[in-house]
Amino acid sequence: MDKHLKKFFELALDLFCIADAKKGRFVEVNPAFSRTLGWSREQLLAQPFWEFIHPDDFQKTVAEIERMQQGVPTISFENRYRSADGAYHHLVWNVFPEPASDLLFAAARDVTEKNLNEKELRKLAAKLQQKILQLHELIDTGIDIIRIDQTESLIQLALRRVTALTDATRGLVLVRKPDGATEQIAFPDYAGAGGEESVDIIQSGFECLGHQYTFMAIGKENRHNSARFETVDKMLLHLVSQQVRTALENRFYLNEMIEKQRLLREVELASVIQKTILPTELPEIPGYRCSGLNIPSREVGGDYYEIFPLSGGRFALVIADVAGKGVYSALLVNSLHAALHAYLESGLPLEAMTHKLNRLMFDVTTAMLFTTCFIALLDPESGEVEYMNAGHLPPMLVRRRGEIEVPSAGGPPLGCLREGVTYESGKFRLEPGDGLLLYTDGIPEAVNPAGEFYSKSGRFEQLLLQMKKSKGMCDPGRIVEDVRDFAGNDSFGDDITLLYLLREEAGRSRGSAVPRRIERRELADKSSV
Amino acid sequence: MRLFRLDFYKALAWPLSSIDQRMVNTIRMSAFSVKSQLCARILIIQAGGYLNREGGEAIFRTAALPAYAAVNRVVLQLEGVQAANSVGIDHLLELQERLKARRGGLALVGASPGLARTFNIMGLYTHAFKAESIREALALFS
Repeated sequence: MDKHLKKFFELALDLFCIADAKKGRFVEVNPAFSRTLGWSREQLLAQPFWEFIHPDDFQKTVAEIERMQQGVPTISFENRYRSADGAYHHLVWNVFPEPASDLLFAAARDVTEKNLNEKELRKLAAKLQQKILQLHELIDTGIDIIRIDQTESLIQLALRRVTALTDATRGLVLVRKPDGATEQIAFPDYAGAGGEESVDIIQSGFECLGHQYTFMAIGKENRHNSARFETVDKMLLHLVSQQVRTALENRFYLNEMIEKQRLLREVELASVIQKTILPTELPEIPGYRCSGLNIPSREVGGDYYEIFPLSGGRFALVIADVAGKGVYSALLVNSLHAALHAYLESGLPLEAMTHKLNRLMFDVTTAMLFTTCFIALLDPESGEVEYMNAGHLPPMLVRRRGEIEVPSAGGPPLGCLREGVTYESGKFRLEPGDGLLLYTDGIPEAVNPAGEFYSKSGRFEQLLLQMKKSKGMCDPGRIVEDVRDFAGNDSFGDDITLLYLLREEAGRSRGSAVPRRIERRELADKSSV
Repeated sequence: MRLFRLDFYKALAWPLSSIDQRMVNTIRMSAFSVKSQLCARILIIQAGGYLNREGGEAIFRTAALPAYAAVNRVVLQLEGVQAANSVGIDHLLELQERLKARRGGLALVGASPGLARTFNIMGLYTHAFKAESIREALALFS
């Protein structure tokens, strides 16, 4: 029987041995030992088996043998044995101890190749996991960055993700601004710059809203030494940088759209406010004819005019221009309108009233925002006009004889300085046939394609005299037509407002002149102007 | 460099005076910081920065310090880690395997949602423990 068993012992593909646990030596080994490890039987028996065990497995092997010496058999214990060529073989042991004799009966299987395959499989699985991670991160980065409002935070997040995804040592984004200045965002943010000459670098850039962005991944890492970036890394860097570009552009256009809508709403609101203040009808003044016109520019401005009766039979003529556009200017006009009515009704002298108005406008406006205003108080019986000009364009007094006078008394615009300003009122008389034209700066400041101002062209005065000569009455519509013809385009940069008052000549028929009227024309409705 | 915060000790109900400063080890690197402390034969490592190769090696070296030769359970506090690449994660996987081979384990604490997702996909949570706090991780090990 022993003879038969010995044949199995010699023929077995696995490693069989009998060892003395106490001495730490093999007593007998089968030929599979020599075939697997390259040592001869004599070499294996000549030295302690500890000599063949991998140093890292030494401790656990000692512990296992101590257990066996207490009679506990071992199943599937793995350690590494050194072969004659210096390589280590992974052996899995089943051992049956015989405590009485200190002998160990052991069978071992070489699982080195199996382990190598498993290692290879693990590597492949890790690569697959890495690809899945890259896909996940790419999708999530796209979603995450659109939630971020700050450009720098958005870039930091994208940079952090792409640096980790490409296994780079560090990441860098260079942002070149329109003025040529360059900003740098790094991850990790406290990693020192420089020393990049010997490492691999990939980059991807784009231009967005005048800024040049360059994303860089610096130094490809692997477990043991430096490596080179692969095509997939370049793709990832490019895709993430494009995600950032899309997020930046989307955010810009969204903000622009929101701002546009806000402005539109503001223009609508300002337009409503302005329409409620501007008169829909001018009052009848016995012996006089008047007409007014207002053309708001595309942005609603702060032009204002009005004629209203005062106690004692007098009439107030007002024209004003509040600096600025939009709701704020419209509200200021509203304040001016209310204050003017209150002060004029109270019978305050023009100079004192203008001081009060100036302080009011100073208090309710922000810095650098002022109001120009011309106020005329007309006694229709005598034609006496007392006026105050607070920084407004002087009116044109067109005399019946064909002369133009420019009343020049006044003071600075309202709201510039609270104290220390002087206002001086003036007086003139409107004789029968004389006309008074009040206007805002939209007319004289109209510019032709050559860059010349309408006020410098001499056309304004010529037109006024021509109208006066032919009809006696000034037609504001014709002035607007002339300005449009001069400027060579249909749109005005500023509001245009005109107010004209004519003292009728005795015996002249009212029907032959331009009727008392009020006009407010929108730019879109050019055909009617 | 992130330092241990006072509330960390409070959370563990340790008086500050009881901490043996000789047992606190710190490794400072350009982009990564590691601080370690032994607590009832469980090693607590607090990491901060970018967990790349340098970071992974720093954690691995800390766990392999001679002072911690008998340790087979490690709690890794990752609150300060902003991102991790595959090389850094590979070091954690190896650390986790080594601890497992010594019948111990690795517990990960305080990973941000993004980092936790990365660990999940890379298979780190398959064998390592995930804990909400150091206290929970210590309870898990004991």
